[in-house]
Amino acid sequence: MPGGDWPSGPQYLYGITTSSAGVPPGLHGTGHPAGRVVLLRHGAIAAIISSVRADQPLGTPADARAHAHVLAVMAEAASVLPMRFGAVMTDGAAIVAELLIPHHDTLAAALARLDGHQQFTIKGKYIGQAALREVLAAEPEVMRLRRLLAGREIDAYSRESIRLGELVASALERKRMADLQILVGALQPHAAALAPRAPSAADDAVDAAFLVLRRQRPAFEQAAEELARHWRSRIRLRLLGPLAPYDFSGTLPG
Amino acid sequence: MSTTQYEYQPPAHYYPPSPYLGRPSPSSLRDVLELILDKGLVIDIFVRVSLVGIELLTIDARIVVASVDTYLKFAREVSRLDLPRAEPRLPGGVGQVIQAAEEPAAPGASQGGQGKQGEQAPAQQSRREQAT
Repeated sequence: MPGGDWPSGPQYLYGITTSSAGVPPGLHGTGHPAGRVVLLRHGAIAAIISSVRADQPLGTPADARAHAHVLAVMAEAASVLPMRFGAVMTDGAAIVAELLIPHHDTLAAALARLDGHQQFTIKGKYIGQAALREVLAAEPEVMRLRRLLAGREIDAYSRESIRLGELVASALERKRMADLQILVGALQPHAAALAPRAPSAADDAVDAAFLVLRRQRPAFEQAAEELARHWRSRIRLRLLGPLAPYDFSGTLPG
Repeated sequence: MSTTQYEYQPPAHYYPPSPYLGRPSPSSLRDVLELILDKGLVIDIFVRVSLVGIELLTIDARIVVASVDTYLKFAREVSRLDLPRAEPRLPGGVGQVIQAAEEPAAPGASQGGQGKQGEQAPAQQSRREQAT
C-alpha cells in the first residue's frame, strides 16, 4: 500500500465491502461526537470504519442505531459483510496489516457470493390472545388443567400450574413451527436463502431472515404483503429491510 | 438520530404500503439490537492482536423462552382467558398440526426445538467474549 495514509487512533469497524464502493458524503457513525465514516481499501476489499475514542464506552442506543444505519446505507449500493457490534481496532494500519491483507481472499470470495443480494427480515407476532385460544381449543389437557386450576393461585409450588404452562409453551412452539413452514412456503420462491431465527418473546410467531436478489425484491415484497393480508386476524407481520446480510455472512475461517 | 448527519432515505417501495404489513422505518431499538448483537461477523476470529478493549454497554435483548417463569406466565394467561360459551373454532388447518391425542411433551421438548431453530447459546457466548 503506497502512501500509508491510514487513519490513526482507534477505529470502529462496521464491516467489509468491495473496494469499488463509495461512502455517501456526510455519513457518520458511532461515538460522541460521531466519527465520519471512511473506507480503508486494500486490493478488492475495503474496511468500513470511523474514528472512535478509546476512553468512551460504546453501546448507547445511538451507537447501536448508527452501526445498523451505516451498514444499511452501504448495503444499498454495494456488497457488504457486516461485523457484529463492537469491533474496534488499534488504528488504520493494524486493520490493513491484520485484517485486510491476511484475509483478503476469504473476504473477497464472501463478498462475491453476496453480490447483488440484500437481506430482509420478517417478524410476526400473534395478535392478542389468538394463539392461546387456538392452543386451548386444540389441547384437551390444557382445557382440563385450566378448569382444575380455576380460582386457584398459579405459582411455582403447584405441579399443575407448571404443567399447564409447559403444555401451552410446547403447543405454541409447534404452532410456531407450522407457521414458519407457511412463511417459508410463501417467500422462499423469491429468495436465494433463508435463515430462521429463534423466537425472542412469548408472543413471537415467526422470525426469519431472507437473502433476496435485487431484481427479485418486488416479487418478494409482494409475497410478504399477501401473506400479511392472509394472516391479518392471527399474526401481525413486519418487514425489515433492505438490510446488510447479517444472517448470511456466516462464520468465515479465521 | 443526531449522530447521523446523512439522512438515509430508503428507496420508495415498489408497491403501495398495505394496512397489513408493517414497514417500520426506522426500526425499533429492539430490532436493531437483535440484528447487530446476534449476527454478523465476529472480529475475534480474524484479529487477535490489535483489538481495542473498549467497554461495551450492550444489553441482552433476548428473553429466555422456555423457563419456569415463562411456563407460569403462560399458565396465568391461559387461566385468565375469557371464553365465549361456544369454544372458538380454529382457523383452517391449525388443528391438524396440534394432535389432541399426542403424548405430553417431555420437559426439555420446547428447549430442544429452540436450540435447533436459533442456536441461541453460541450467540450469547460470543457476545460475552466480545464484552471482555
